Amino acid sequence: MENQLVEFSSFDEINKKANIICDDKSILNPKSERWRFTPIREYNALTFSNLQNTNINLDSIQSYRFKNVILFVIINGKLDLQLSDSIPNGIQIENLNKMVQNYPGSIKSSFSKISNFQENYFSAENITQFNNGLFINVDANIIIDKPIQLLNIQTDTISFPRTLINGEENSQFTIIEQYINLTKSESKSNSVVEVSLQNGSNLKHICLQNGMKDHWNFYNLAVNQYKNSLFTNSIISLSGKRIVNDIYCNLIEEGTSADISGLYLIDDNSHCDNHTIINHIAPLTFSNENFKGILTGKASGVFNGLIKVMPDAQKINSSQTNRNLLLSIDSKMNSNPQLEIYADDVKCSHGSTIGQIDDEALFYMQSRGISKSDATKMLVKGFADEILNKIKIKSIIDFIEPKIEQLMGNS
Amino acid sequence: MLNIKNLHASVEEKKILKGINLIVNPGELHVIMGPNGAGKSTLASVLTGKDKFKIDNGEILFEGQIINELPPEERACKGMFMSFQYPIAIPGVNNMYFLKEALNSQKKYRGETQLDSIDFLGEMKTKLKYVGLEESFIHRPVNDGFSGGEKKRNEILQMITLEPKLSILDETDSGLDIDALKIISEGINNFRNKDRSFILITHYQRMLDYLKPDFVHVMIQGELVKSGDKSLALELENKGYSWILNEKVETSKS
Repeated sequence: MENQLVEFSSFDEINKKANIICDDKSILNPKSERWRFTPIREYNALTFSNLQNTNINLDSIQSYRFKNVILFVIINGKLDLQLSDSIPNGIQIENLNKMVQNYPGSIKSSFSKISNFQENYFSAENITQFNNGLFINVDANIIIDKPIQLLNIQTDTISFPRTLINGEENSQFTIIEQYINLTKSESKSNSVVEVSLQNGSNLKHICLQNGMKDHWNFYNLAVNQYKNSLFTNSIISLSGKRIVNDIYCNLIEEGTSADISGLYLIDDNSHCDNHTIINHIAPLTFSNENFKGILTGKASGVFNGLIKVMPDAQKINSSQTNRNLLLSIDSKMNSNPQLEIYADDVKCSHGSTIGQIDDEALFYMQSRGISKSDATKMLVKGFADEILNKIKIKSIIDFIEPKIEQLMGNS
Repeated sequence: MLNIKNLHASVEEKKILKGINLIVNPGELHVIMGPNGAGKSTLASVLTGKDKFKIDNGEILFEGQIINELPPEERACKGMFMSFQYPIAIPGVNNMYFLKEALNSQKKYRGETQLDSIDFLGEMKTKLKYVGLEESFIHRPVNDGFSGGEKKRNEILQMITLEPKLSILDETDSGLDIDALKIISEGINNFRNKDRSFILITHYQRMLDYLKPDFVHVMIQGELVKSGDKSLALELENKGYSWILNEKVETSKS
């Protein structure tokens, strides 16, 4: 494994390093390429009040439960065993902070090493601020049929959830992360999810972001994949004021495969930002990336996708697409697909589109008797379906579909 | 059924139709032929209500009602249909879902009982046979990745499913091989009856060997300049259009 990070001896040292990053505000320079199209200047000027709200309605929590799942409820970054289902055999779920303090081997090689906090302010900030966190380990050769739903409820105005997931050899499981905030004033969450997939393991990961109208959501997902492991992912951004997603996939060993997809629905004055880096480190690695966005009102979005192919990564296959549908004149999107290839025997493709509803398609459908508004709905739904179909879990698709209709109602 | 009176239409200030008069009675099949750029496809689009085209003058009456201002979906619901020269691909929208929505929208407009998925699928299985297509075909996205022939068959499948009173077939025969032409022609023939009317726009008389037209019209520079029976199509095939142009010049001189 190529690891540019210095091996740290203790959590204290990691924390110290992270603090230095956080103190150096230049990493959030609005003029830098990273933040060029993201309203980070606005963020820099903000101070979030630290309000706590312990008044949680237990009934409302159950309403977020998807059908046939193993539910774990995380409140303000802390696992609540009382509200959660019992932990099935083959899975270990622990308080990450405690695990880090005790520092066993598996944690040592992964905690803070997958998400590169030295280059990411929010990843560093999370290290310095997270309190409890979650460590999930799925034992070798275990197949968990039921999806594991990690329901993250935020009631405090600022929250730093952190999750470390380790899929041991040949394990197979599904994780649905859902971020809900029940805050009343301007709020912020900064989540970091680190995933390590050992040889032959298979993780299907779905992340649903459903923040309030004045919520800032920073989400960091970083995945290290080892021999023949498979990572399938869907990031669905449904609401929130500002959503900033950073996704890193490191295909470290041969035979690994990553299938990353995303759907973002943005309206009003909201902004959604997806930065992805897929790093083909080993030969014979495969990646497929497909992000789609529907924007309306005065919404804006950024897609910045980088496919990096390292010199040894021969015979890799990678494809990346970003398609955007603008439903209003005032919405705007910046799409920037990038390839950085240092190997010579590779197959890479990428493309991006930003467009409106196709008038020709609309007329075609109308000429068959379908009203303009119904035809528009069918076209928008058809646009989103490619991403929804990958999810394959009906109750989740049923959860997302009305949000698409709602978005069109707002346009 | 259809009565076009002195129809003038333009696109982006460019006059294309310059006074079209045409009456189509129930059960009749009219053929419109003419050189490229004569305005044949524009006529089809104007009849079906494409808003890119502006009607400058004249009237379109469908079953006695002026439809100049009706949106395309209402014209369809009243019983008009156009088979597109270049059918549009709609990725992400399933062919069967599309056709079911179309049929049910029309039924709803007419106050008829809508079909559920099971009944609809049953109906589709029969209709697919008429156009020589496999069932898997209707589960694909509309026209997405279809071959030229498949697109044209899909148009005819939509026609025989929606059962319009008036079908405007815009170059349905172009890009088809002989076998496909035969299958599509048979599909249309099976669908013909004394109440259903057709306007067929074509460059070639070969489809007319299968479909027996009642009238053949020649359109040149936005006008219908000559009408006749099937023999006119044969004459055009042999002699081209220039003689009609000359004839037109002669007439206007005298």
